Amino acid sequence: MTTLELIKQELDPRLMARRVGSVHDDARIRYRLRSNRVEDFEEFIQVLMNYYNYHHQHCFGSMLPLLEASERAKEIVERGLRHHGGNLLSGYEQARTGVHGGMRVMLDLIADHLREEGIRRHVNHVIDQYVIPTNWDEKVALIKELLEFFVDATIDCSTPERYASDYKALVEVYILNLRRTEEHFFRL
Amino acid sequence: MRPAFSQFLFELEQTDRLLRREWEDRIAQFNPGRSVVVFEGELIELLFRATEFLVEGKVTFADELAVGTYSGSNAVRARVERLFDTKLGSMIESATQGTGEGLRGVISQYFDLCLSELSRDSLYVLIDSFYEISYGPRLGRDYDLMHRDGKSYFGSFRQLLPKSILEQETEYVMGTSFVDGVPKPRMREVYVRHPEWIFSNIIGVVK
Repeated sequence: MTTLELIKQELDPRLMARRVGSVHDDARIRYRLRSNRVEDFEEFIQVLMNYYNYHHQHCFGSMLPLLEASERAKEIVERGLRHHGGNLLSGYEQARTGVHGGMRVMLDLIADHLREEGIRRHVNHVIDQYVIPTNWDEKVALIKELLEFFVDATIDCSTPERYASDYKALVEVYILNLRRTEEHFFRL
Repeated sequence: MRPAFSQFLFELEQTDRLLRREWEDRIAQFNPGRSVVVFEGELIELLFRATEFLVEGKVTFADELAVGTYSGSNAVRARVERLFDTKLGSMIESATQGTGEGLRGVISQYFDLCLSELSRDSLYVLIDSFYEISYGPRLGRDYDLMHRDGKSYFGSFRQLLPKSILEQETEYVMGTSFVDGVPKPRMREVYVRHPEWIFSNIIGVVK
């Protein structure tokens, strides 16, 4: 098996879900909120912090110092809500009124973020296992394998060295697009 | 006596908010008990329980083949097909293998659809009750009466609507449409299609 094939095998979505995703999903599914609403901002932060630490312990076996957990949780919620034009304060308002998903959505944001982070780290780890980042020849060899799929394309396939330093990004994009193609097949 | 239009809007907003809050609480409390399912049938069964929990506030383990109900398994299956449409295959893959957003993501999307459907249906019921209280039980049967008597309400309603909505919804603002053979004022569609407008304007109207 070529290095690229081995990486592809390790990054199989089902395998990744079993190795990384499921523990995060399990953590979120097992956690029951006492209430979908909070009384005040202090309670809001407390619930976020408690959940972050619970999730962290469930997946990684340890808790973080309270300050660290609360700041990380706040950052995740702030960043997550910004995609929808919100921020931490609008999240608090959602949690206070209990509408638009209330507190549940805040915990989902934390769970999803930690899951995505876990998957990103796993992908990085797998690629590093097969191609040592300090070994130039291995990077070039991997790019050569990848370029075999593009012999008729307009890209320059004769000089793999040109792309070798970007090997991680290229492999990730290649695998991501394979998955997307698979998804299209599922729809048929 | 007809309630004031502003009072009606206020009550509409309050009731909708309370109902949404209740449903959101139930969604937050729902426990699927697993992070993946083994096969598609198990997923439908789980979503059937989820719907029942959302609507009833508990799982009764009632006959899931009950037809004609919101949480009947046929209704659940139809809702799943409507929601995921061409993505049905990858949704089943997510739910059974934990890929993509996993079973949690599937349940979450399903709940979002249920919530918007339930909210829309409850708004229809609230608006229809308002009209019935305002014009009496004949309203539903008497097209002319509703049209004639309704003018002042339609007028109030039109005055409140921003130009942007009026332009979009000309056909809904006046007149009636038939729902299950019963004439209903078309303006109810505007309430349901633009709840954000009702809720963002409510305080100004009541004051």
